[in-house]
Amino acid sequence: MAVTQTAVAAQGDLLNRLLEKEVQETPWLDRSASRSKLNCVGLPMPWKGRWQYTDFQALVEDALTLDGSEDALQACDGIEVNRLDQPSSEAQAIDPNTNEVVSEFPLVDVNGLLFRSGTKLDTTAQSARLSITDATGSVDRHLISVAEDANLQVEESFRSGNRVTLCYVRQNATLEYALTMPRSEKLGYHCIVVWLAKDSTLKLHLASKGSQIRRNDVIVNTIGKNASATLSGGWLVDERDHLDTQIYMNHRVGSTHSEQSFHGVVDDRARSAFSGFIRIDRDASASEAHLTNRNIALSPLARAHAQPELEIYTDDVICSHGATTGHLDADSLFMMRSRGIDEDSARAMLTKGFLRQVVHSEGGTSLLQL
Amino acid sequence: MKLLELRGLVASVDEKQILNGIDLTVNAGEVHAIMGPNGSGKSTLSNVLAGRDGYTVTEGDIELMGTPVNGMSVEERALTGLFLGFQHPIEIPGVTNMEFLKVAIDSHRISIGEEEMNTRDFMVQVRDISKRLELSTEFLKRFVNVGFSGGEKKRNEILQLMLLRPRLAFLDETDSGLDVDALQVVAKGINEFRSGDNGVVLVTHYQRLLNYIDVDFVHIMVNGTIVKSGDAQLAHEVEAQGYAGLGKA
Repeated sequence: MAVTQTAVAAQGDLLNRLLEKEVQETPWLDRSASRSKLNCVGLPMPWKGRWQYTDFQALVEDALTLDGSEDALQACDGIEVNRLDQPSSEAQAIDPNTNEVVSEFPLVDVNGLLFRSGTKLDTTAQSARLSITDATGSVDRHLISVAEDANLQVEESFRSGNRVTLCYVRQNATLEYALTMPRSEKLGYHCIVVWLAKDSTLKLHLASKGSQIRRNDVIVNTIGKNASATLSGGWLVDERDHLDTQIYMNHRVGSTHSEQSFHGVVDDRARSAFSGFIRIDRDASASEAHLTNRNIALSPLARAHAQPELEIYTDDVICSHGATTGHLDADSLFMMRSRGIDEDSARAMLTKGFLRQVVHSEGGTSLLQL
Repeated sequence: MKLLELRGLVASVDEKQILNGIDLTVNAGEVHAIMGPNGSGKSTLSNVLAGRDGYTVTEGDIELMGTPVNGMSVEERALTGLFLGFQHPIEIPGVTNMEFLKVAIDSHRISIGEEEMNTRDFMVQVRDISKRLELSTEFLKRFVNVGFSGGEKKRNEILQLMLLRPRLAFLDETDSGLDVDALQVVAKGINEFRSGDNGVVLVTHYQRLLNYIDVDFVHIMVNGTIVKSGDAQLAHEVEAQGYAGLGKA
């Protein structure tokens, strides 16, 4: 009981310090939604629920120390750019209907209180490109809007800091998003939230190493019929690093489709966690959702936690989900060694092969040395 | 030269004794066939020779190229000159055939003090062998055995054999699951491989592979031991009488 009271008191103290640190220098940015949500919901209890494997408090404490305002926008083509640190009446949200984010992701609201830099990016051409790079030491936020019928390709690199990217993909538009997360010794929180309008498409691809503590949240909402999301990628976490990847695939309307495929490798004393959550709303009949997560632990001290979840509130859906955690395939290893390939080389080839099945991006292939 | 010598080989899998004393000598230039019914221990013998984990020699000796294999790893046996042809070739998603073959040939070259094979020479050699085995070079870009038909998998095994050129090929039911055309292609590859410097052991249920490959010796294996040895004529006796009668012989 005493421990619980201490934890609650610590949470209250952290929340108060957080609210006091709300950035005041940018009055043109409306932070009220984040403030009221944190005030109302509070912070989650440590080591519970979606924060079972990752130190939430450490990430908030880290965000409180980040006061940089680096410009992360590296290059863009076919995009109108508005900087959030410059006064602009347009820069408050990408769409009135996309302000809400599920309460399980409170660091999105922490970001909402603390971000000092970022961009609002609107496609102006049928085919647009965008490159966002590291902004270590910063809390930043990016609002991306893909216009009707447009195609946007985003390449993003993220090492540490606290970043939230909100993407609104309008009717019949396509967003191709390649996220690469190199290793870092610092802490990092990264979140992408996507809303998919009617007939729109998301192809999200991620490749990641670990860091001291790294949490990567991906939240996808289908809000229009025939929207489609393909999420894929892989990670290689070693030494004493940590990577927690949480996918929240939310089918809010019917006749939408999602496909998820993630492979993870964990080595040495590292720890990875994956949660793939698929929710099919009551109004989302005739939807189809599939999730596969496979993990390989290369070392006896490595840990890979996997949690596929399905919540279905309607009939007439096609869903599958599955997760496995194991070791390299003994038959494959034997076969390669029987051709004269030494065990270390065979293990390295099998590990790369395992990741290659899901990691296709140039950045990801390079990062994971595939 | 003796490529393989088994003396009183007794071996177990998961503490269950499967091989009950096998004596066998394979010299350079010889082709042997080991025939036997299901469960006679043929595949166990293959795995024991290759040094697979879980297969334990409890009595007797194995010598490869005149060297006892005690303490040798799977890859050391391969680099000594043993090639194991798999009854069920393994699929390796994510690893291309080309990459796999290149690393395998380079491992052999490095083990004898040579440099890695020049990529161009490697490609020329692999394409030439593929053509002889009627394999499209496209399949070299595909993942090892993934999506291959049964015949393609077996031909891929023979491609590895012809590329690596081991001293002793121990081919475990290479003929199983093959139609007549594929069987002829596989047999052609084995015939091209055989020479006065190397040896081949064909492990098979049936006589039909021996229609295409001339063998010097046939051994009948029943209940973990060789119950009868002879020349190619013995395979025809098996076909006519079955294993049961021979096993009691």
